[in-house]
Amino acid sequence: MTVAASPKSESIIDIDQALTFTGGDPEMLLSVAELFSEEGPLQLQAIGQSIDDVDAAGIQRTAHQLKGSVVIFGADRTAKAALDVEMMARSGDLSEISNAWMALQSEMKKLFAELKELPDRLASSNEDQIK
Amino acid sequence: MKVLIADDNPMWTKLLAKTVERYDFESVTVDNGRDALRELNDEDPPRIVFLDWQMPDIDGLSLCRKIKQSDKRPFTYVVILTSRDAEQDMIAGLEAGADDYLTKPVESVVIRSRLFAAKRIIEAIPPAEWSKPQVPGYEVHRVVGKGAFATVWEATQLETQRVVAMKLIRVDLATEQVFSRFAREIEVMKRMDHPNVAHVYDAEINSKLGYIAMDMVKGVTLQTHIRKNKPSPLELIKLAASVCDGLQHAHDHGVVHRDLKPSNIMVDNENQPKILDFGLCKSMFGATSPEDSAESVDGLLIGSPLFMAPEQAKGKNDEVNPRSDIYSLGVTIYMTLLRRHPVVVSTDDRSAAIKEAASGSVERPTKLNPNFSKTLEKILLKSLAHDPDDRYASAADFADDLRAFASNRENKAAEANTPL
Repeated sequence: MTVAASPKSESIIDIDQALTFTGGDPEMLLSVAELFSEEGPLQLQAIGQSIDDVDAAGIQRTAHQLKGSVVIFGADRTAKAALDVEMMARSGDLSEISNAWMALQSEMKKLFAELKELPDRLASSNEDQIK
Repeated sequence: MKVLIADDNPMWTKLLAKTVERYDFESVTVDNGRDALRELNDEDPPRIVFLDWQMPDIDGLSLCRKIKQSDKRPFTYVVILTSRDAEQDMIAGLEAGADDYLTKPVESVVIRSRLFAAKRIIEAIPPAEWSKPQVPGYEVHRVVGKGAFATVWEATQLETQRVVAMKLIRVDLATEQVFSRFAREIEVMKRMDHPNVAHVYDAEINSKLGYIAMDMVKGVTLQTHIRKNKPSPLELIKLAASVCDGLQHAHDHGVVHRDLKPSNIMVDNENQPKILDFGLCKSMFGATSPEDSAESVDGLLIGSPLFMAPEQAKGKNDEVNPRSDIYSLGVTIYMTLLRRHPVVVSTDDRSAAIKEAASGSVERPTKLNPNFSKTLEKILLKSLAHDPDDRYASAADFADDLRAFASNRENKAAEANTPL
């Protein structure tokens, strides 16, 4: 998967892109977002646990999974942060991973905050289309 | 058409399942390679498979190789769907036998195009033993199911233009005795007419051809109904009572099913159950190998012989009677409500497990769930009595008790949310 930080917007979530993964269905997107509000913290926690355990394979696996989750929301910056953690773990050198881990946590915090606003953003996006 | 989605990321499992269902395919989801293999070994396995690469137990590529290297499995369209987008990964995926390789994230329209392409391919090239048969008076369309000795086709009866499910018997595997029993049972089946029994419209058996044309039930098997629609316990009990009605009708006509299990009960689009394969399979083919027809009820792997009454599992065919069907239905209800077999099985060995199931004692539901209704427990335990004489004397009696229980529960509106 190619992940590049998105320069075009300050938003973490790219709604247009996310909707292409749900066939344009906002309800489906909300349903997946709801699941992520439960799964995302667990996936993040799993990475943290693997870092504590100095388990490079575990970090790689869990960061890979988190990256796969956040791309559903078009969250390229978050995915890039997860990829950084994944690649460091893959290299086996964990000496510099704390910075990447902090960056990932920071991006995830922003993503979770935006996910809370997602219903309103989808509603206003729908209203714009009606107009 | 069933689509297996194997991915250990619940986000993708959910997204793919919803996408697949949006395009009128039936989704089956698992989160590891072992469960994926189990689904693929089902007697009616998914023919389209989306495999994540990294999964617990068996990774997607290894699973793909298993699927493609098996000469017993029907053609299965495999899509590797992974985040690994390096060229060498794609080459590895295709060399493992995958028919397609997609990288995440993938747009819904791409999934749609792959689904319909896969469906076209599967329908165009059925396995050799499924070559489309010529049946006088019918236009045969496509395979809808496959068993060890028979295939089921969707067909149109030309005279009536009625669409039927046509079960074609492998005549090359049948003996003279089988032929005569089959012919006799066809006559009985043709007389049966009940909303909870798949109606047989036509049947024929001769030295070259053996078929039964019956209701083309628009719906899903009971096991899929439970997994997909998640009916409430009371709905399941009422549904079981309707199955009893169908059984009673058959018993009144002197027919014992002998192979009642969730995959032989279809639930139509109006949530009405219809019993399939009434008396045909068991009487035609005698004892089934324990390895045959593995199936699952909401995740629990179990062979169909475990639905048999003790007297039947022990091979005492002369003791098999309508009460054997009542036992099988009791097992089905127990498993749908409690998610496990009523008899404690201590071994993973399949043959030993079947023997234990046939001889062991039934676990009281209240032992598994202290809140389980004692009234319903009494009903279930009666249906599951080891001695046939201790079971319900008739399916109608069984139905009466199930309905009385359901009605009582419904009337107690205040208790509607209390656990069974």
